[in-house]
Amino acid sequence: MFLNAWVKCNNDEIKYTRRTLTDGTEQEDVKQWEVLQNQYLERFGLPEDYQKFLMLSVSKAKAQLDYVISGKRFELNKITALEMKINSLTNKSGEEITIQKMLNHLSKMQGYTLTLYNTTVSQYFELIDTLQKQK
Amino acid sequence: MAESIKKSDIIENDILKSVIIEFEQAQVKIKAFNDELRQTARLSKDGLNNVKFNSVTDINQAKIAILEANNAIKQKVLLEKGEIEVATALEQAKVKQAKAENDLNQQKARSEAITNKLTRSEQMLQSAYSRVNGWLGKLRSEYRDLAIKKELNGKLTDDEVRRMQNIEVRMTSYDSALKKVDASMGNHQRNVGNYAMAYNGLGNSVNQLTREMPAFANSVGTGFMAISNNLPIFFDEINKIKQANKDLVSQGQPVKSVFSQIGGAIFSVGTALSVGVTLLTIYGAKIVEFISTLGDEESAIKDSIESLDQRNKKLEESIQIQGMITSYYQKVRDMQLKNYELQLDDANKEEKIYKFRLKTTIEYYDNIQKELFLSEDKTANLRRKFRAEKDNEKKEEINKEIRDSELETAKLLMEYNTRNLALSIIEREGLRAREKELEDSLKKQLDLERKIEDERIKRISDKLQLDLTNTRIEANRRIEDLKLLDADEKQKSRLKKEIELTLSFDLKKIYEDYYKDLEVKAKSFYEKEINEIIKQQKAKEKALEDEKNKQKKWNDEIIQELDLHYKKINTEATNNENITNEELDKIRIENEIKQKEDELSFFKSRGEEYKSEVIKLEEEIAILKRTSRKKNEVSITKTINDVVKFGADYFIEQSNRKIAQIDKEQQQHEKAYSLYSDLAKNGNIQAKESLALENQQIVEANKKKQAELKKQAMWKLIEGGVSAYAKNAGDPNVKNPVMKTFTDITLLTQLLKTLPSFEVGTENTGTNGNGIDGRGGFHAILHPNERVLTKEQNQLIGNVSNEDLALTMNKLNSGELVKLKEGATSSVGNWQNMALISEIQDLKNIIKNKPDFKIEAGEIIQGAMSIVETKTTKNSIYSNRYIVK
Repeated sequence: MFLNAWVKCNNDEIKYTRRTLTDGTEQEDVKQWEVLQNQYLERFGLPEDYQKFLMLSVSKAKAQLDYVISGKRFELNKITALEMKINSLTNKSGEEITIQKMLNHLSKMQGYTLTLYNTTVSQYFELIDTLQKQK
Repeated sequence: MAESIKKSDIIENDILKSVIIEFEQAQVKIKAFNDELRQTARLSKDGLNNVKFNSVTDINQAKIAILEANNAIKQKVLLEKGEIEVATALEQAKVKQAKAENDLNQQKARSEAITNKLTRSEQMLQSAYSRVNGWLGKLRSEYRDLAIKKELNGKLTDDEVRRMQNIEVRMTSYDSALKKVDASMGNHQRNVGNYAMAYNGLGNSVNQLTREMPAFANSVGTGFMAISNNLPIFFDEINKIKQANKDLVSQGQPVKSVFSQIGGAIFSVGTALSVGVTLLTIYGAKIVEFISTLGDEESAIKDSIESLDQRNKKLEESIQIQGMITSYYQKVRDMQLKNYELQLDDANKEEKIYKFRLKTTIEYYDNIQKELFLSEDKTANLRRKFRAEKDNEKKEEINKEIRDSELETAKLLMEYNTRNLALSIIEREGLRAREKELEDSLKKQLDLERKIEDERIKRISDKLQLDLTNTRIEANRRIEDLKLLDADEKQKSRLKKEIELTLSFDLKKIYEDYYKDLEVKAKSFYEKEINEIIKQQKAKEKALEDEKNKQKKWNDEIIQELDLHYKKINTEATNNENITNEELDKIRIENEIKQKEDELSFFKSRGEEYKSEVIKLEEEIAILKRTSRKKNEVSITKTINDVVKFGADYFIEQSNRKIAQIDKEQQQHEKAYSLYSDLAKNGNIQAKESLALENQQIVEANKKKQAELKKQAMWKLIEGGVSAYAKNAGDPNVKNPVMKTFTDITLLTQLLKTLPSFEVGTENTGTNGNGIDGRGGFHAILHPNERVLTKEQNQLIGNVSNEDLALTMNKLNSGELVKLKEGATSSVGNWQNMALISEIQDLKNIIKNKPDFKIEAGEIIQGAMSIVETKTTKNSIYSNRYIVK
């Protein structure tokens, strides 16, 4: 799968899971998109930050449910603390890196032009992985 | 009129009660919802506990669970808020309801009290009316008797004539009073036949016509136009009189001429006044002119003023009388009501009498039947006896008895038949009459009951209650009327149901209308009340603000005053820089004493009433005076104390030096004594003499030393005494500090004498302590640089004597005694070998414990080379850096 289709799917245009856009149903698209995501997870795993975010959100949900069950107000402090952690994770300052910028960077590293149309998803993420390891 | 309970209060109370119930229900609902939410939360939490992120489905499920948790907490917060609001509102409603209920109870109590009072008044009035009525009846009866006697005999005795005249006067008086009372209640029964008292419609219409007469003063046309409206009424009245005359003729009563009645109406006072006004309108100017020529204008005005005054006076009297009459009529109405009730009782009594008679008759009839049956039974028995008897004589006797019994039975039968016949005749003949009588009685009873109901309705002031009562009574009357209706029971029952159904609808409508109206009123009332509360709150806030400002102003003023005061004091202090703090304190205390003395004199002047205050103040002044005196004493004592301390220190130091000198001399004497002793052993005679001399010197030195120590003790005692005195002098509660100090020192000295001292040391303090710390402890005297061991430590060293302990330790320290191994020591005798062994042991230990140092170059960290130092001791290795293995 080329990167272009991956980006489109991520923007809720999941018909790009099809090889031919006119060939397929929406139900099949949903199923296929799920398969693709699972393949991605299997191969590259969840990004570290996102995993942290999910874990914190789950902890916060548990704390919220604890409060609902027990009605003890000190649970609210726990919730606030977790909210602060989540906020610090989501509000990380720094320049936003788009896929295009990343492709430019990778092109420089590889010595040839990488575009959304000539790069596959696995190539892209493996190159990023390599770059991270080099750093 | 009894004060009725306000319906609005009852409604308010009911509304509040229902509001409380609703709030309580809301609380229950909130609790149930809370429980449900909790249950859901538990389930969601179970799901979250097993969350994984292995696939997209897992992640999506986790996201959904997170969203659910968010929603749950939002709902929880809303519920908590609702719970608090409901609880607050419930509390407020409860408070309001309690207040409303209290008000209602108070109103009820008041209403009951007034009703009781009114009932008593009614009873009193009713009894008066009945009495007068009864008297009138008796008087009439007596009068009739006397009158008939006069008619029959032609004359009466003088007493009878006087009695008759007296009766006439009293009858007139009573009758007139009762008539007035009846008329006030709209009951003109007593005026039947007295047509002059009836409404005179003809007279009224003639009056109307004559009132319009002044219009003829303008023109004839205007006059006729004015009376044209009233002419039809006039003609109607003439026709009515004609018809009334016809009725009278038909009843055989005398008639009154129509023209005579018209004449009477025309020549009435009202007509005369109207004619007078007409004449005044036409000829007024001329009449006034005529009157003015008759007399002085001033006197005429005076007369008119007087007449006006008189008229006003009469009017006032009339108003008063009218008031009295109104109140009287009200009372009479109440009496009438009571009378109706009595009559109703009478009607009920008649019914009871009839029932009693009927019952008695039936009982009698039953009795005869019973006797007849018994008699027949007796005859039958006798016949059986007759048949069984064989003796002829006895048979004859029984036969006779049978005949008697048959005769008796026949008599009873005859009586029974007669009664039966009579009863059937009564039933037949009397049934119709009796039915009619009963019907009349029932009607009478109903009428009376309705009259009572009407009277009671008139007393109901509340609109809702009035409407409800009217509707209910109307329906009840319709149902009661059904009894008199000529219809079968089924039809009556159907009609009754219809009436009841209509009644229920009517009542519902009345309630709805009333509560609709009440709701609007209540809404406006509560809005008004809320506005009032807000207004009051604002007013309170404003008052609070004003109070705060006022307080602030006062505070500012006080601060200003204080500033001024302190400035003044500072100025004074600056002016008198030489004054010390002690002197300032003294001045302050003196001022305080003066102030208290002024206060004391004030209270003393008030006498016994302020005796306790006087005593209190006197005590305070005494304390202040003592404090002042103490201040002086303290300052002096402090100086003395300083001097004494200095002196004591100085003398003790000097004494110590002397002791040191004595010790030195003593040592020299001891050395010399030892030398002379050796020489004396070798036979040197001079040495022997010198030995005695040195010995004497040593003894004297000891004596001097003792004397110095005693001096030191004395100085310490003096110093302690002065210090104690300074302390006592500074305490305002101590009245005599010298005596107190003396007592303290004496006690201390005595105590010291009783305390054990360990100047020569002890191995065991014994078990004779008096337990001052609960563990057998006791006071004791210790000296500098002495040693005290605990019981355990003493046991550890085997309770050896102090001498042995000191000697052993000395030897151990000097190396004479060597420690071989833990817990064992060598004897003093072969210490040389032991010392050797000890040395070897030490060497072995040194070799064994020798640390192994290594120094080598570590990693290059951040551009600097670190030195890694490793030290190996026994089996442990110590390094100053982490080492990666």
